[in-house]
Formats: sequence, structure tokens, C-alpha cells
Amino acid sequence: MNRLRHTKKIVQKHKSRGMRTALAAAVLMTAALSGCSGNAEEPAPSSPAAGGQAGEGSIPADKSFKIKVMSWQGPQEQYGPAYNAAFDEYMKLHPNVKIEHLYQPLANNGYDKLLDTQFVSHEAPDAMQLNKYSMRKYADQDYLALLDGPMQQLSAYNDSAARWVDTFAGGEKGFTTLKSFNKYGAITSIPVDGGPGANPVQPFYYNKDMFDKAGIAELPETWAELIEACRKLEAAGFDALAADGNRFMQWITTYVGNQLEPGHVPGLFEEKYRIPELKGDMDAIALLTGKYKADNPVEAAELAIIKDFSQYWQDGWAAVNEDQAKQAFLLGKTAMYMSGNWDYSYFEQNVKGFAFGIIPFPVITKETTPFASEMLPVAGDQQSYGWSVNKDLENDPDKLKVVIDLFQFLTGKETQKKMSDAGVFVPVVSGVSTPDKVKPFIATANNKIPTVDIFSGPLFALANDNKAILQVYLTTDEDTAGTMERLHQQAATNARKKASDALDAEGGVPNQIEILQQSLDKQKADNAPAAVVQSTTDSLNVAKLKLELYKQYAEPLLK
Amino acid sequence: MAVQSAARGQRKKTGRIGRAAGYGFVLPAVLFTVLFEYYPMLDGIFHSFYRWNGSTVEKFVGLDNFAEIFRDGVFWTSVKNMLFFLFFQIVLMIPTIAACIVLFRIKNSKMQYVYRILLCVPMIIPGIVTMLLWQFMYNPQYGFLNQLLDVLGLQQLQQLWLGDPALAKWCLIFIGFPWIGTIAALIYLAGLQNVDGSVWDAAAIDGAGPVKKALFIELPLLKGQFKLNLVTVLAGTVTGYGLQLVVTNGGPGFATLVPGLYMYQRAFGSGTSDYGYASAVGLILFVIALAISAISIKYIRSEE
Repeated sequence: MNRLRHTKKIVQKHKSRGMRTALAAAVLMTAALSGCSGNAEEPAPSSPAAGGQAGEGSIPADKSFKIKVMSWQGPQEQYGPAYNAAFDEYMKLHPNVKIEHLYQPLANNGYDKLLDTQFVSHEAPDAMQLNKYSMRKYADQDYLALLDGPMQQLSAYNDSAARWVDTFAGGEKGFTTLKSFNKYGAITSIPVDGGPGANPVQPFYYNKDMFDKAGIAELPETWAELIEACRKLEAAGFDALAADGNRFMQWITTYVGNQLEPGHVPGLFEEKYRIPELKGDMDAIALLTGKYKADNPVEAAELAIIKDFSQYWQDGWAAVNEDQAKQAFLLGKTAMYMSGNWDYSYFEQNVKGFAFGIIPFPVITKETTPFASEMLPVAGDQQSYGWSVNKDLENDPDKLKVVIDLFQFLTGKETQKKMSDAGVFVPVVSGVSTPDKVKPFIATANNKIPTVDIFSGPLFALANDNKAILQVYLTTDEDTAGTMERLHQQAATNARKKASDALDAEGGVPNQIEILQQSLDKQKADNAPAAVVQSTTDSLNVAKLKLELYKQYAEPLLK
Repeated sequence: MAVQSAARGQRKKTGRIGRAAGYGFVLPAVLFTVLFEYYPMLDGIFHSFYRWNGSTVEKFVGLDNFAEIFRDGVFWTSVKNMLFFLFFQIVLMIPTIAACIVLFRIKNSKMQYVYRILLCVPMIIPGIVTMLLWQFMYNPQYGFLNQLLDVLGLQQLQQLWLGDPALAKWCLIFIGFPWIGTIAALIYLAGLQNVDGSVWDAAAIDGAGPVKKALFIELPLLKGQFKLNLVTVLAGTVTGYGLQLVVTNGGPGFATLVPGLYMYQRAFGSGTSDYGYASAVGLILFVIALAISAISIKYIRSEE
């Protein structure tokens, strides 16, 4: 208890320095959640995990708790009911805990807008589902609890003696991208659905009846076979694919581009910089320095492949949103629709008059382009969303303990199995078997391109109006060179801004290094758990390398 | 004398208290107006000179945002689109005026009442519902328009509607057909009802026909109301983007993008929030709307 008081005192002393406080709070959380033991390797005294059995957690039993959690998983969608069933089970296990699951749709930024106001007024839910962009925003604004501490603890609902973070598929490394996505280099979310084993490339749902009528006996496995199938479908009088002008634009460029020329951009830099955390930075610097030009042949090939494919999309796709595209498939107007596992139950319940199946995203072969790697991006370290915890809970350690316990429950093997079956998603933890219907969404032996080497099409990725520019390219006579020039104009401007922001002494990487260094010193002085110290050290080293990269390549150009 | 002086003093005191009470009652409204109307506006002007992402980055950049806007081809495309919409929004003010003049001339008061109700009914339907219905009607696969053409055997006239970059702008203009604005109509009708009845009697004695009445009496007398509605249309079209956001999101490509929507997209539409740039776009729009409105008011003199 003395340790807890001491840590609190340190935190209060530095309260005015927001970022330092946040990291110190992570240490405090670790201490608080470990039952003041201060040693992450030791299990909490009441934790059943100590005995190696899954159990009921270790939350205060003499108090009542009302927990509010918010997600974009509607009660009618497949994840929503899966979550609700898990929450009900938790409440049965802990009758003193009442969980309120709030649903807020994402449409028109409604989710973020609500949270923006709730955070400012300290009315935000105790835990909320966030994508990585929102996570970065709210973590950088100091609204989210840093979870490195709790992650180093044992999970009360796991039957092994592993740290909670190690129970997740991919272990601590699976959080690399997320950690690089906020200024603290910290874990800011807990994944519950859609684990790192999930194929990062979404498949196509297809109408079996239309495929039969078009005489397609074998499902396409390569890109060339997919185009051939599209030709047959069109010849049989069907629109091959229900596309939309928004999400699908992003997906198709990503999934096609990701398969081309691995290591194309990292290969322009020294070996030491080729780490996943610096991937986006290398893209920007390559553009800024002219190492990556407006006429890049790999990105040109990517655009050409998409243009060729677009002739098989339904008429008027550019003005259609993803829901309308889904309806087009559901109503039997198109033969295919690209989506993830989250739509499986919806189609299972609503598709009438035809049978549907799933085609994994085809591999692009050299038959289509010489840049084809004939591989797909590796799974893992692909956490694009998860559940974040409201930082305000640090003022109520008991409630924080309950929220962490709830998520340990949700990520326990037993719950994950049930949720995966009901919600049709890939479990986030290791050692959980999946139902057959989940299998098409799991990565295969083809998923081999390492994260750092994935080609992300820097022109498209860094341009603000990338989807609109692509729509113009696909719906008008504009040529590839003109399109790439338009993308390049925006991307180069943004690359310059990104570099300038990174080198900024007040809000950039130098500031991040200073904060991390001070936090590390404090952690060492406080005798923080070794894993927390290591995590901060890793983040500090990455930040130093990042600064070196920007100083070496970008700084001379910005002067 | 002393009594009078005391009474005067008392009146003064009462007057002071009354004034103070008056200011007191007005104060909350003034405070809230400053806080919720003027502060965000001034904050937007302030941040238009900053590179600001809403969280970590807040750096003074002088006029850099404005310089970038002037070099930004997408912004100028959106301005061109806005001018297209502006022209047609002004032209499409005519049906409302014409409908009001005709309605005002209906002698049967019961029928006039019925028509007035019919004009007002659309007001209670949320605008976004209307937009979504039109979006559905324009759907090339299962929308009403193409289905209707199919039933009529006019398949050759079927279009991509919103999916065709060349047609999308026209489709947006067509939304709201027959373009009778309910609020504007109420304003025009109120204006017509305020006209002295002797004007119509004099016109009848002079033998003015319906067209002459409209051109030389009703329209000049409605200039004040027209000016009010014109400013609303100008400001709404220059700075507004609701229709584009809901129906096309500015697409296909940039075919229906307007500066207001561009501002929104730069602030909230991508992973990298560029609030400083968006604020600068907002400031430019404010200046454009103000300038156009001021010019219009100056050159359209109403009949007092």
C-alpha cells in the first residue's frame, strides 16, 4: 500500500505535465491492479489464475458497480448480440456489477462527435470501442488510460500463467502498430474481436446461383481467374461486383497494392530503419526526397489493375455507399460483394432466393503484373480497433479494476470461444478453436509478406482526396499518369507537413523522446515492473530512430 | 416642491432599476450568444493561421494555409461547383414567387387555406429524409426513376444519375422539384398580405391584366422579401453542404464537391485532421458569402 501511496504522490507532483503524468499513471495502474505487489510477474493474491485455472476474477465484492461501455455494434448486428451475451454472463458471475452497453452508430462521424463532447465534459463511457485513428486522437489528448501496466498482469480468466498481453495471438508484438500510433508509445486498447490471426485481406461473398448460371465451375484463386470469372458473369448478363465509392475504394487499392513488390519503399533506406513502426515515415520521406516519384511503376501497375477490374462493377457504383452496395448483393443484383466476417450472420439471416459462399481474395500472379509477389500480407499486428478505457477511471481504482477484469473476462479463452461462435470472428487470444464459418476469414499460408515490407502505395495513402481522385480515374478518361500526378501533388504536400510536424521541437518527436526518457527515469526510480520499463525503453528507441531518420533525410530539405 | 423633487428622485431610481433589470434579462442571451456564436467563429479565424490537428500539433503558420488553398486545385473545383449551384438556386427562387402570386390571387378563401397548408406540409418532413428518398430514387439498379423508365419501355433513357459525373450536379439541382420553398413562400405571402388593397383596386381601374399586375405591382412590392430570401439562399449555398454530404459526399470524383463540404472533409473526413486548413477555408467562405450578400443588398433596392 505504501508503494501505491508513493507512486500517487509522484504522479500528483507532476500533474501539470500531462504526458509525464499519463505514463506515470500507467505505473500506478500496474501497482494498483497487481494488488500493490509492484511485481508484475507475481499474480494478484485473489486471482484464480495463480492456481492456473480460469475463474471469476478479483474485483471488490462488497461494492456495486455500474459500468458503461459504448460500441458501434448494433443490437441487430452479429457482434452486438455476442457482446451482450458475454456481458450478461459477466453480470451473472458478478451480481454486483451492472453493465450498460450503449450503441452509437459510426455514420457521419456520429461516434467520434459524441465522444469528443463526452470526453471534454468527463461524461464519456468507462470503456469504448475505437479505431486506431480515434485511439491516437484521444490518447494524445490524454483521455485514454494507458494499458501497458494492466497488460503485464496475469489474466484471471486464463488457464496459463502467462501475462495478459501474452495471451493475445501474436503476444506483445501484436500491439506494435498500435503502440506506434500514439505519442506515448503505449498500448491504449484491448482487442476483443477480430484477432491478429484474421486475414488482413477481406474476401468476396458470392452468389452461388449466378456463378452456376455463368458456368463458373472452379472458384477463382488468382487475380487472372477472378477477371475471367467476371467476364463470364458479365456475359451471362450479371453485374459481377457490388462496389461503392468509399470503403471499397480504400480496400481494393490496399489489397491489390499490398501484394506488389514487397520492400519497395523500405529498400530505399538503410537496414536499421526497416521496422514496422517507421513504415509510414519511410513512405513520407521517400516522397519528400524524391526517392519515390509521381510516376512510380509499382503504383502505376496497381492503378492499372484496379481500372481493369472496375469495368465489372455495377453501374453507378461511384455514387453508392457500402450499405447500398450490400443491398445490391442481397437483392441478387450483383454476383459478388467484398466484406468481412461481420456481415456473415446478416447474409445468413437475410439472403433469400439464392445460396451464398465466400471466395478468399485472389493472389495476384506474374501473369497479371511483373510486380506481383504472389503472396498476401502477413496476419498479425493488424489491430485496427479495440476497446479503450476512460482515463477518468484512474480516479476510481476499484472501478478501474472491474473494467479491466471485465475485459480479461471477454478475452478469456472460454468467452472468446463463445463470442467467436456467435459473432463469427477470429478470436484475439491464442489456443481458441474457431467454427468452420470463420475459417475463410483466417490467414493462410499465402499470408507471408512481412508488415514492414508491405507496399502501401504512398501516393494514394498520403493524398487527402485519394478516393475522389481514384473515382475520377475510374469513371472518366483521365489517364494513369495524370491521376498519379494529382495524387502526388497532395501526397507531397502532406509528406512535407508530416516531416515538419515530426521535427517540431514542441509537438514532434524530440518532445516525445524527452517525455519517454523522463518517464523511463521515473519508472526506474520507482522500481516499476521490468516489462513496463522494457516497453518504455522500446518505445524510446523507436522514437530516437525515427528522429534520426527525419534528421538524416527530411531536415536538410525543410531548411 | 420637495414632494415633486422626491417623486422625480423616485422615478429616476425606478428608471435605473428598470434599466438594470432590463440589462440583467438580456445579459444571459448576450453571454450565450458571445459564447456559442461568436467565440467559435473567432476561434475559427484564429486557427486559420495555424497548422492545427486538434490535439498535438498547433503551430502558427501565418498565411501558409491561405497560400495552400489558392494553389489547391480541388478547392477551385469546389468553388466552380458552388457557383453552378448558386446560379441555379437563384433561378429556382422564381417558382416560389410565382406560386405565391398565384396563391394570393385565389379568391376562394377556403381553397387558399388548403393550398397554404399544402405548401407548409413539406416543412414538417425532415430535410434529410427528403434527400435520402431522392438518393434512393436515383439508384441505377433499383431506384424509382430507372424502374419507371423500364416499366414505360424507355430503357434507352435509363441513366446512372448520381453515378454519372456529368449528370450528378443536375440531379442535385432537380432534388426539391418543384422548388417551392416553404419558409420563403410564407415570407412572400406575408408580404403580399401587407399590401394595401387600394393598390389592386387602382390596378383594376387601370385595366392591368394578370401578367402586368405581377410584373409591375407584385414583384416590385416583394423586393424586400426577395432580398431577405436571396441573402438566405446566397449564404446557404456558399457555405452549405448538407445536400452534397448526404446524397453524393461530393462525388463521383469531385463532381458535386462544394467548398463547405471540402472544409468538412479536411477537418473530419480523413485520418489526419487538418483543422487549421479547414478553418482557413471557412474564413474564405465567410468573406465570399458576406461580399456577395452585401453586393446583392446594395443593388436590389426594395420599394418602401
